[in-house]
Amino acid sequence: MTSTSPAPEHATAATTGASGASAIVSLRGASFGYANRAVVSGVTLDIHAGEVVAILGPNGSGKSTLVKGLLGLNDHLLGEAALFGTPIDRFRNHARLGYVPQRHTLSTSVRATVAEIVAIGRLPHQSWLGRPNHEDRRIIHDSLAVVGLDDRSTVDVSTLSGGQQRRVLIARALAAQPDVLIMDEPTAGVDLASQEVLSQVLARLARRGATMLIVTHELQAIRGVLTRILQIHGGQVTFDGTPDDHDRALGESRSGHDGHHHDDESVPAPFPSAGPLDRVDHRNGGHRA
Amino acid sequence: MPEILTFDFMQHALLAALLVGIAAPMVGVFLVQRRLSLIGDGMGHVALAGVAVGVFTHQAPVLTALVFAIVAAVGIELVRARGRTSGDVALAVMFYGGIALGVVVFSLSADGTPTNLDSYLFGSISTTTNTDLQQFAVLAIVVVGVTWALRPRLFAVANDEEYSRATGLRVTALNITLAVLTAVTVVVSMRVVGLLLISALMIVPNATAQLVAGSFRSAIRIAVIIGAFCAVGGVTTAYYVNTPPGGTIVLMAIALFLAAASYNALRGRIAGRRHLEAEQHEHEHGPDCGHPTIEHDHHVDYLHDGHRHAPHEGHYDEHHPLETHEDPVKH
Repeated sequence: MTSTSPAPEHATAATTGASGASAIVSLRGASFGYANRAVVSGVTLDIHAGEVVAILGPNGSGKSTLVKGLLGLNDHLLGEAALFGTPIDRFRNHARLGYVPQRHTLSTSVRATVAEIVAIGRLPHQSWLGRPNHEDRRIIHDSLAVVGLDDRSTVDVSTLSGGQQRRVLIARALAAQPDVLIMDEPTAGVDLASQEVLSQVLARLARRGATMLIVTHELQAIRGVLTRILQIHGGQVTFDGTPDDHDRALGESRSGHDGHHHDDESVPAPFPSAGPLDRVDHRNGGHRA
Repeated sequence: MPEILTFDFMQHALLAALLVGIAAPMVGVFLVQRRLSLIGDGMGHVALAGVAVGVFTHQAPVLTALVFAIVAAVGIELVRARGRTSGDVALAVMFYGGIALGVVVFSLSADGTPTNLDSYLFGSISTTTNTDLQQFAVLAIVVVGVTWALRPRLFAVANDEEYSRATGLRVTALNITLAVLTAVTVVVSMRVVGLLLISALMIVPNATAQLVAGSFRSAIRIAVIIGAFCAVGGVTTAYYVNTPPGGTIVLMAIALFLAAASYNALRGRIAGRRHLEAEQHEHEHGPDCGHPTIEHDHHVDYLHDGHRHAPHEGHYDEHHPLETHEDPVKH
């Protein structure tokens, strides 16, 4: 059901698609929100292992609410929602979801090294009295290697640039060895050079077969790694299809209603100039498993 | 044996100081991390009301103070968890209500002499009895043990509450536990440091450690060493020069903080002169960036338009120009 990544000698991340027949995320008419007020509603979709899904939409459209709902950070109000086949209200295996929150900076009130922050990702796998063992340290190191920061593990995290701090957060999520990465605006608010490195990191993860849900404004930066696009508008899913379908739909709506304002989404362009990390040809890309 | 150790009460006081000096900074680091440095102070205020009620009703003041402080701790966390702006005011009312109630009830008690009140507010070495010490020792060991066991989780929650919640950590339970640990520390320390200054022993050693440490782990260790040193050193000094132990301990901790801050400022100035930052560096070097690398002195320089760029914190440093005997590795 999914492409297996070329050669990850070990599975640091959401690399394996071994979740059986059940979808990772399965929603049937689901609504999420806060204090009984639905922000997104009537969402029906399945996300399977190996898919790389962008969730697009303007500010306040409910795209963050949707992923936070999956993470149990807000209220599941209506409909059915299941993670790995378990209804979301009974789901306890939180480490299977690797969350990369939207943060502009990491808390800098006390010293903390990059490795110490990434070690937080290992906590779900540790007992109360447990401390990182050799295996944990290897996973922490490998997670940092994936985001290209293994040479900074002993550096105080507050001295890193904004883009580097984002990658630390990705490494923290990877260290939990999740089955799916859920990222909230991973490329927002960082300079172009960092954005480029971040999209390379996402491409590297995609090549390893990672399943990803990426809430984003900036489709361009990650267009090459996507297998599927969800568009959310006013709390409803208004588009669900492949990137190519999305281009077509966008083209039609452009010519159909001239001047229609597509919020924060820029005009789709061909794939970004192919660097070594941007190739997607070995992925089967089939998201409708 | 030095004269100071020949007295039973001094042995007790020094042992109590050592326990408090270890426990207070250990708990305090998480308060610093959560930007709640002043919360211990408020709990001290409320604990005073507990002490007064104990003295008034002829119960053990340690016990009543413990009850008051723990109730306040849980209350503080619940107010904070609601996240209302009025919560700040609610806390102020709680804290000042505590100290006011304490002073009034104290004055109504038969044992409520000003000297007695002072000994709770600023610490008093001569009043630590054997029973006190046993209670303090048990409580301090519980605080140290629980804090050590929870350290990774308390760190995670204080660092990123939302992420911790998403990974299934019991954030509210951990926050309440930290508040209760703080309350117990306040009560354990009231004989040695006093309720008005206990917060300082939780915070100041951590402030110093933050200046010199390179990681969270080492910061805790340094803070505990500073805390233990200042507590024992302060009690000893207080004995010889006849000053209140609490104030003496805290002044000592602040002196260390100022010394560390000056050292840091000096070192920063020297290092700033020695290291040259690469100007306007928009490209990020890495294993795949394509720039030739030169490995030397345990780090990697990237050869970039004739410059050698070494990663340093969030930027790149200019390292000395290419020497002929080092050949860059072409990718």
